[in-house]
Amino acid sequence: MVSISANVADSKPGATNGTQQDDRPPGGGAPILQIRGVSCSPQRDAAGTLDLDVRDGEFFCVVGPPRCGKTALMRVLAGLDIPSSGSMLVHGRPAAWGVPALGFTLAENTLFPWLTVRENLSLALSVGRRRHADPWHVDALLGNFGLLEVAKWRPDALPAPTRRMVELCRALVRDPPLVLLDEPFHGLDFEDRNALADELERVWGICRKTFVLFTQNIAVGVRLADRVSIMSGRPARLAVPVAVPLPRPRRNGSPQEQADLMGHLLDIYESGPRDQAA
Amino acid sequence: MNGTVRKLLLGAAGLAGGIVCWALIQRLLAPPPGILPSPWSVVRALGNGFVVADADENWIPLVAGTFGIGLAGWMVGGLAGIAVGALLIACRPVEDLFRPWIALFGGVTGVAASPLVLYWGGFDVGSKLALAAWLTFFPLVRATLAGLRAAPACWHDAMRGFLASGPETFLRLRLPVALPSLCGALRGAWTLALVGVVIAEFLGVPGGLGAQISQHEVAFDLAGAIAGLTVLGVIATAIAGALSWAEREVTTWVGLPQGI
Repeated sequence: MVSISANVADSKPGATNGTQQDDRPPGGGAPILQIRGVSCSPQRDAAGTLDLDVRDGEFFCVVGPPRCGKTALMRVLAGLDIPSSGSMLVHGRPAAWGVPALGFTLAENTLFPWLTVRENLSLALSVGRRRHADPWHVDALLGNFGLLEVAKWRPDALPAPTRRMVELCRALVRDPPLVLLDEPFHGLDFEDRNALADELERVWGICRKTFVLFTQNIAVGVRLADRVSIMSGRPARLAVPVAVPLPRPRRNGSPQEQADLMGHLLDIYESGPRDQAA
Repeated sequence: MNGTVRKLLLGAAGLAGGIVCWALIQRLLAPPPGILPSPWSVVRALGNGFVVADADENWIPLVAGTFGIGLAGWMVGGLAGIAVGALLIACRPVEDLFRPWIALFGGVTGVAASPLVLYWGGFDVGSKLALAAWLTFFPLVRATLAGLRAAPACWHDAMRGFLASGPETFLRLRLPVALPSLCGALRGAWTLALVGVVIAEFLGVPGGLGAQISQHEVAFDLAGAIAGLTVLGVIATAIAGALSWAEREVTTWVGLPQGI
């Protein structure tokens, strides 16, 4: 497997590496994303309204069972679908539905196999209304992520966690205020999951962006997030977020603390957000 | 010895074996003259320039007449098919309107309609070119329609995330994804275009290998006919091989595992 943590020294000025995130406010800063009364499920019996506040710079995690509407919510936030109701504020300003304004990665592999890693990133810069194709920018970003050594590789030649990181890198190349990650651990084995979790935590520290991760795995939330919100389906509902006040990096964190938090979240997961919110 | 060399040697051995068998049959069974010429007489016909007894032309202009027109028709029909397919895909109702015609003339009906093309266009070079283009056009329309729709929805989502416009999505996503389909169709259509040209020449359009082969057959000069077939087959196969090579070069990513 290609190491994607080899080039941290190339970090852009002001960036920190994955082990130095102490200047970031715990749990993030001011709200960067607010949604109110959003209903995005195509199924009538699963319809529910969702409210969510994500703070600037935090790593937020939405955890829910399969088919509870996580992906539907993610697609609405990404501007790929339009909800039946609700409003969204980004940096306090109303955002139009159906217009992609945030970065995102999908559960499927969306890297184009006929392009190299560098070309995949450059493509994201060279299309659209805001064109600013700058190879140096792409290479700087790849360098920060430790991906410069695979810049000429085709995606199919990369191991799965590296491919995921390239997708994240591509989502960041247009400098969005926030990145949505839909099931990034989907289909990975245990070892690859751990490798990807380490890299996500490290890169989040480097790029100083807000990450919102959608997953069905509570352990992922406890491993990576500042706050975790449990989502339930039929009707779709988001619980009051639970803070995860564990020190970073969390790879070698206290198993007991993580287990306690997971137990608490599991209670919410099983009893449902409605009871917890009450 | 690597696989390619072994394949080439085995192919050459198979070819040589077939020619030896042919020579043995010709020698041992001694068929009446005009039924089965010997390999040497075919080689002699090739060496003499593949000429009919009273003709003064050799096979080089004949090759140009068949393959030049075939390639030109193939390119015209291919480009037209891709353009029409791309236009049809922009409007589903129009595509549905034309779908029966594409299905009807895309297969064997296209070949069977060859005499009609000659009837309408006359027995000249233009008709030959039109027939090659006609037989290339419909497979390319079908391949374009299928290829331009082949990109999975998540790739379109990614392009939407980059705020790509419709033309940008077409050029940067749909067209590359369609390339394998288009290359395969172009390779297949090359054979059809050549069949169209040879049929036109058999039916009476002068100035090509097909017409020359036909004249040899009429004159019971089977050595000349087989020499013509040999030239036709070798050059057609060489061009098909070049197309396959080009296809592999532009679609190196096809068939590789795409992962999760």
